[in-house]
Amino acid sequence: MRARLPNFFLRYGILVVWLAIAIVFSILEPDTFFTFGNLQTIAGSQAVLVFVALALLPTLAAGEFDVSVASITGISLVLVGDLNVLNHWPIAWAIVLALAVGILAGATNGIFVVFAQVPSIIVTLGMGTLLLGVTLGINTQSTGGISPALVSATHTTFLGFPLAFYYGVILTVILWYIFSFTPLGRYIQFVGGGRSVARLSGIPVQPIRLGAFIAGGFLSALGGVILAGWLSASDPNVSSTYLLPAFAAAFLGSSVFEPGRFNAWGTFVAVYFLVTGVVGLELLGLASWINQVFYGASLIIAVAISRIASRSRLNA
Amino acid sequence: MMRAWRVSGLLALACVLATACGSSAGSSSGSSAGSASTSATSGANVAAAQQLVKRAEAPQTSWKPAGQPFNATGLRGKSMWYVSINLSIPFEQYILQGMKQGAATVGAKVTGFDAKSSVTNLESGIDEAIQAKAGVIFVDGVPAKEVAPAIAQAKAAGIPVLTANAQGSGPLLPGTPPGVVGSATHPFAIPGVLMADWVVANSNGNANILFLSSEDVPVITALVKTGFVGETHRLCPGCKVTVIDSPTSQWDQLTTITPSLIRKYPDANYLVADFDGQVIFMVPGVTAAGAQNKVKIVSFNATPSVMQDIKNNNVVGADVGGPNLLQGWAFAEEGLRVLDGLPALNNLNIPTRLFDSSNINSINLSAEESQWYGVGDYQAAYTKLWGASSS
Repeated sequence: MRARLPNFFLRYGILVVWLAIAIVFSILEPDTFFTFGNLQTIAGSQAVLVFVALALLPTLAAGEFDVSVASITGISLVLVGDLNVLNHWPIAWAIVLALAVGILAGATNGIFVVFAQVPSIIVTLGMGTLLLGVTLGINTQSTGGISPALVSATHTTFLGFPLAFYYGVILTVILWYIFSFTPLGRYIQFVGGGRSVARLSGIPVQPIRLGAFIAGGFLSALGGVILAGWLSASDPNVSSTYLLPAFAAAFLGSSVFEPGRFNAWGTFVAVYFLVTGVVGLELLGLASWINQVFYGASLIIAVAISRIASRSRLNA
Repeated sequence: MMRAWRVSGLLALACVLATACGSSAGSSSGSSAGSASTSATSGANVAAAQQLVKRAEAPQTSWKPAGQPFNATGLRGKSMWYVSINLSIPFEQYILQGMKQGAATVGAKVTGFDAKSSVTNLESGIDEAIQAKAGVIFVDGVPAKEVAPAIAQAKAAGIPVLTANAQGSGPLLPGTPPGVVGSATHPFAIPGVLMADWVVANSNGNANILFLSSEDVPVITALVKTGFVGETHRLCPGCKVTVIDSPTSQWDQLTTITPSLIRKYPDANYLVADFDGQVIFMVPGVTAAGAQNKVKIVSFNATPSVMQDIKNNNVVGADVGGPNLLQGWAFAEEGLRVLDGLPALNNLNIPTRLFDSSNINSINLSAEESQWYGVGDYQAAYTKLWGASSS
């Protein structure tokens, strides 16, 4: 029993804390926080963050870092706006090109990391900066009037929640299935656990690492498409602020459900844990800088918990 | 244009500045122009607001350049340097482009310098301009006292300095360092006043307003906010204004913050943004809160995406703007005068226009944005003024 209690808290502690802060905010702000409308806001407005955070999972699980995800989301967003609104492309083709650019960026990251053996943080930092510049080169201004079809595809509500929220749920289920029930998912975890051992076990380490970057690029670009629909506009300066919360969510997520492992449901819950905190603090009327304090502190605490969880798993 | 003023590196300084200028920086809510319980706004005041709105909605056909004619054709080969706080900002690009076009008509040259949102880089830009023996240097985006040492060097080299977008129209601010001979700026208080007029008129004097104030953008925010709050006070003592701090670094979080604000202030019926850069994130926030029929957004800059929202009747009620390229020509006008040894004008008569559902369909959003204002051939007006045209 003594051993089970800490294990329970390691697995589900975030849910307890989430519930606790939700109760505290509901008591402090019963008319504004404890409302269905607020639940809708929390669910719908951060679907893009779910995508960007989940885009980190393949690379993090494979033992790599991809800090270009937010920039890929940004260029995807701007491409959709620029091609659809200013160049009058059909929205479907604009989306296809945006996703293709995401895949290309991810593949480029992967090639440099896997074959040129440049550390992933360096390659993706460079790629992120490069894409940020290209995004501004495409258009320095926000562009409104994105296809109503894409806007409806994100804003239309089903059972009270916008479709964008459900896309995040679907992606979470897909990644959860891949990581939990397919050989590919287990291979990625093996590669992340130790490349040499994985290689000796016959796992195709290099293709898996490359594939992880490509998947990350694709999912980041998909996040940009969702964002274009959600904003019904594009803006070249949006993306960078997704990076820190996405990493915070991914690391916080690795401390829950399967402590020490990056996992989809953990990341999903962590995104909404973070958003709950931020929305609650906003409703309390605290100064806006508190958001960054909250995100930053969450990242540090999340990584600490994740490390503790990993060690306790290894010692078990 | 002022998504624009995302000058994050500089903005720590800006907070200090905004405080120094007397604005209510820092906290998330604050000043109030009145309260709902105060006496109702008189019909006369609403009528006055409606008249002011009508005038502001009209094409600015009577616009003229600010200064008297002078012969600038002798300035061929002279150079102006525009040391911009950040040339990736569209507003800044327009200004530089307009300056180059205008100066070229008399054979003068304009060099742009991108300080990339850094005051240190701004000082380097001034140094470069001095080394290049510029005829006049524009220092953009920060109060001149922030770069006083570099300006002193320019003065020592005999190069006059103009501040750009660092104060309101009119005489130089007290404390402006020696070496600064004038100011070129947008009349930033006017958009604030016009937004207030529209809100009072549109609400029939029953407005409960959340003013989202980018306190980390020095000077400009203070001018827009002061203009807005003052005019609301004047015309509508019963209207309530709550100022919400909305730093530029967190504009993109407005998709989440806006619904929270709508729930926190359930009686609010107008969201006023000091810059359009916020609106792209506020609109989905209003939609997410299901408040499209309850809340209207009003903003400043007249950027194409927000203008499109007015056209689509998508939450945005009105937007105030000024022609950016024309502003570049007006800055060239100021620079050429100083190059010619004339005193700076300090008020460049840059026009503003208010756009809403009544006039949005009368303009072509695909056309070059200066044409939205109805100012006619402003380029010909300037070249004629400078003696560079045969007409």
